Amino acid sequence: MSIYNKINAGFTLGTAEPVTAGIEDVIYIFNQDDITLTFDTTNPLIVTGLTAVSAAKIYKFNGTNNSFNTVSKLAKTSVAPRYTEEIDFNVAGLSVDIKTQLQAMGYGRVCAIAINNYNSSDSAVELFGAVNGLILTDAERSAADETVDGGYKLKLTNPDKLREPYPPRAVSIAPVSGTATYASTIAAIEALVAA
Amino acid sequence: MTTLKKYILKPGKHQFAPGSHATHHNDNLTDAEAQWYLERYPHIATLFETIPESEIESVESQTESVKSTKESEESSEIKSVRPQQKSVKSQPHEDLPATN
Repeated sequence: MSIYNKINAGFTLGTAEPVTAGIEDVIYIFNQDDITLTFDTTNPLIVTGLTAVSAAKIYKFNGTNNSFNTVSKLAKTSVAPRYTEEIDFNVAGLSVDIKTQLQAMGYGRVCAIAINNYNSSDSAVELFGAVNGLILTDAERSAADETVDGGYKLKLTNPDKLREPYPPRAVSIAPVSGTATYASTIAAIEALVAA
Repeated sequence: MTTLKKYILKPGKHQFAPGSHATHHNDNLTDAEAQWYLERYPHIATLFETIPESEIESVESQTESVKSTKESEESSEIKSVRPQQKSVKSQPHEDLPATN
């Protein structure tokens, strides 16, 4: 049995790749029951594959001006650490199509993939809601709100009474041959994105 | 023992159904199980490195032959077994009540 409660490495500061804040202005969202995940054999924090059920797709939500954000926060419980997750993003529009998608995200569970601005880490691309999914808990549009110019401010979080048993998973998908890189991971995700 | 298997999964622990625990890997998946799962979950064909030719034909016969635009990026082996069914969940909002 693996030793789950013993640390086995420390951390050293360096100047080669200083950490930077924020995520890129894109969120990939897919229905939780549309995609199966493959995990690394030894480390459940690494997702090594995304496979679409039938011809299911991943949907891409674009933003701008570093306005998207992800939050993962440890929630202490009596039995084990759990993690709450939040994805804050916005949609610059208010069409019926957009409203339909927002309504669906309020009913069904989705998973979300965010890309950190700090790409040097092996956790540059992160998957949220891997176990219990996410639902849309905030969809606010104030028509006169100049901060988003009347667009929708949105928040995906864990469903009620559910939290994730792991921190956000790192997505790391290898090309047909060779080892996984940031580029190969993005290419694999983009290959599943709806046209 | 592993080399004698006809159904070889790609490396990693796989979910066969979305949301399930990722339990399936080469060490615990027998050929009989693989065949059983492939019949019920044809989309998992892409998770296998090798599948017997007879199974490839049966998977193909269960699915429509709609060509995917992404198909060209995949290896010819995966191409031949990839299920091409149309998604029934591409519009999940269809079942929502109109008044809410």
